[in-house]
Amino acid sequence: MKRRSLLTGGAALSVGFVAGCTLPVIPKRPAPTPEHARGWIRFEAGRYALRLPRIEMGQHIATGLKQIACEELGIEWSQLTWELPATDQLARVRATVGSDSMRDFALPLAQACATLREAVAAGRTAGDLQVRARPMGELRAFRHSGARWVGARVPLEHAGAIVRGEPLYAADMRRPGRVFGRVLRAPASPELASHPQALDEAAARAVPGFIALVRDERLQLGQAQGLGIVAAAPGALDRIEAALSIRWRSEPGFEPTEVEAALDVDACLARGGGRLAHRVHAEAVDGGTPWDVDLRLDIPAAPHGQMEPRAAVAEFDVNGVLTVWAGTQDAFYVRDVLVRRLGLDESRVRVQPCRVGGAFGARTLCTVELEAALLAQAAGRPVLVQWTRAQELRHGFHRPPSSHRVRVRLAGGRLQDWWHAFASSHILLTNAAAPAWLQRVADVIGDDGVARGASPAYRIPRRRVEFDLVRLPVLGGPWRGLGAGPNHLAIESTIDECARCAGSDPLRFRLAQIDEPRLARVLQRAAEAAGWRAGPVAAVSPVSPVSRVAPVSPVRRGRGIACGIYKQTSFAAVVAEVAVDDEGGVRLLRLVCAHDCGLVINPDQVRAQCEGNLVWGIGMVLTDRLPLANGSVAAGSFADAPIPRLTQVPPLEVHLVDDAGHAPSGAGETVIVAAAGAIANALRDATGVRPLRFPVMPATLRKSSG
Amino acid sequence: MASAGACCGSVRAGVSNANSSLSISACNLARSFKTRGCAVARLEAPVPSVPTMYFIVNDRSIQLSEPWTGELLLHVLREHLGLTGTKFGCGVGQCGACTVLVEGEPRRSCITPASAVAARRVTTVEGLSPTDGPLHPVQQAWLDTAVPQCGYCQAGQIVATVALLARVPAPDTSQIDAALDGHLCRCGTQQRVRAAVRCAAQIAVGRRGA
Repeated sequence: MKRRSLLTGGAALSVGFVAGCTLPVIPKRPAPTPEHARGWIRFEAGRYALRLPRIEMGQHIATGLKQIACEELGIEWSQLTWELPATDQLARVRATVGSDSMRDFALPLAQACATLREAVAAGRTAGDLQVRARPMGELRAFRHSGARWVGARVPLEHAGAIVRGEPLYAADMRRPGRVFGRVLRAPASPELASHPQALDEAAARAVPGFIALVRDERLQLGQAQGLGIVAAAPGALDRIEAALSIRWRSEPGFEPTEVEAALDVDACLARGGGRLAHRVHAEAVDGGTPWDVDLRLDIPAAPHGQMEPRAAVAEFDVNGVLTVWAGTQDAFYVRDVLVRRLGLDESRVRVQPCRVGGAFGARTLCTVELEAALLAQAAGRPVLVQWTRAQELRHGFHRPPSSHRVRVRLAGGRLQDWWHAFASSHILLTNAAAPAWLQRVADVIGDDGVARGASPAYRIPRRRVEFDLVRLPVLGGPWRGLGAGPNHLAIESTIDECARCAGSDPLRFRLAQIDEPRLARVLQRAAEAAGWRAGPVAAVSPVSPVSRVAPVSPVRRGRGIACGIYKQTSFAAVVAEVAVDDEGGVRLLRLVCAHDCGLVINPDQVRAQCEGNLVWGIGMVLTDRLPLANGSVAAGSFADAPIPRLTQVPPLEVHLVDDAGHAPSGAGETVIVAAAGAIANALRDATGVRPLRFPVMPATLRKSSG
Repeated sequence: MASAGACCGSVRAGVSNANSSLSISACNLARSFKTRGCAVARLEAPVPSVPTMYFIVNDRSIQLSEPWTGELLLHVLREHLGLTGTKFGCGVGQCGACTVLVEGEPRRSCITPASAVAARRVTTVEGLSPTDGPLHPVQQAWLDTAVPQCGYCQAGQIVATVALLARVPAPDTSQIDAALDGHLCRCGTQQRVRAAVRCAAQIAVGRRGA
């Protein structure tokens, strides 16, 4: 039966894909070099111009790289202008992902700036320069002392335009004759084959503002065949959609219970004879003695929830050259897909990246850009396509759900055997872009996105960490931090239980088993700042979490700590304090964070990224979910798929370790490895209940009447 | 929205012959053609029609014709008038990115028909300060506190804060939270939003004193 094959990855699906198309376009990821950087910075008429090799999506990398450039060039802030270059203005750069912009792009940019500075000082004002790949120690931008721009608080680029409401985002790009498009698809997961079966075309044509109905097989998203509509005004799109009264034909759906069953890590282990397919650590942990800690944690699919629904404007000029204005993390990948799908020469497709209104991994594929291009081609006019919020939820991809089993043996109050088994759908080789057959081929090498952060940062004599990749009928893919968020939530919850089991303070328990001094340092820094005094948990908790005695206060308070390393280069620790009322309502009292990303280029914006990740931690524990029903994401708005609100955000305290002894690394995702764990551990401390299913519902934390 | 009915009631006064002019926007089928793999019916652009309502946007009087009188205020502002500072976020009034002021009160323009603001004064983020002049205290506070990350929700937050401070010149945390809880931000700028509101209140006091 077809619906079974969806969940087991049967042959039926792959045949459909092989018949439909060839190998998907694979994103290229060139490492940035000094040679590339030559094209990023130039000197013209007494001024410097930076072509930003990264996408700007709120991390303020334009400001950060401008600080690097101004420092290295030794110039005033106003002497350098920057732009987001189109794909024909820059050699290919890889996607803006993984907190690697400062880590990988600052050095080549500084090298190019140093070369330019010396050439200008020598009186050269024209011609191409050969960039010398000098080491970091020879560059002004990475000196900690005496810096003017690096480490300083500087005006945020674009911020003035943002507060004035100037056009910055893709949907703000107004082109002469521009009209509005939308691609309609079945209200089902794009993993299910679907197409329009019947519709009322005459009624649609009668709607004022109707321009075109576009039937094009290339309007396919996954297995969902779309139908394009073009109108003179945005509201007409809604009226045309209603008038069409499309009856969709779709493969049979799936139930949420089937997804849960497919992902159930215990069932995966049973199927694999106690083994899963992919190993992060493969040491033997089999032993006769029972496990001291044994937790099963389930983390659901979650939307990105970025505020800007994806948008693109596409326009063909009189020579047939296509320009697409897009809010994308990977302009070159979008160009590659457009070249392939429209059958155009690479020289005839330009992608102009625009500021992105929140990405978090959601803007790594080509979706709305292709829709806008095809509708513009069909309508013969520039077309703006912006997804509705419901389309974002139903046809976008999400954080994949994951299911974790973590078992630990302690010896002498220390970690001895660690076995973390988990199941997730793919992240890097997402089902939103890769057909089932390709995933099966690539499954030999696993999925680094799913594995990210799964290696515990503690001294553990024997470790087995393994996972299964399960293709699900729900689209999953990159989501802030990839697997690092969910994996650390599982790890740090387990470590907390281990500390309790050992009768040890969770801070002291961690510090005793951490070898990495930078991780220990952020733990100590966060604990100090939060006033954490090591001691037995019960002794410092206002209300004993396991007390059977009637509480003196209706509010139970607790605190939790967690820490982690992101991509081996950035370190974070968080302390959370919570209050839980009798009904299980949670109020966060404060979050205290310490962060180490080496030399800090822009302290205020590293803080901002930490604050953002703290709020994402709140979301991971308390809000983020994506309900499924009838073969589809059963959410059409923020009401069904909520994100943290202002009133859920407590005072946030961020402490930066500014360590000039280490090169700058990333800050965009680090704190997500510790924030959720700290909050979950604080809830455990307050209530005695270990959060195992996320998001945590009040009923789980309700005070038992006994 | 609770006040939608009241808005619509007062609107009708500003709309003249809205129903009778609807037919003007009917399009003529020009031609149809086929391209590779797709069938397209193509029509001419709507014929310009006579203004049927007016309203005031950022102190400028705007005459509105079909088909725009039948559109939502958000679309009229963004796509007809080019005031793209106001953002589309959810389309159902849940996120606040589309917030504008109507007679000084915050309104979700994504669920407000243009006809509901006939003869009324609308202020968008672009109208808070002159293009080359000093920023509004709230805009200045947003810069001073470095609030924006991606920036997409910020126009709505700023506009809502302008309304809050007009009502409560020095709001406390609970008043700030009550006024802005309906403004979603995924980047996590909430703490800075609170700080910026307090900062804006101080800037406003300082300017009044100056």
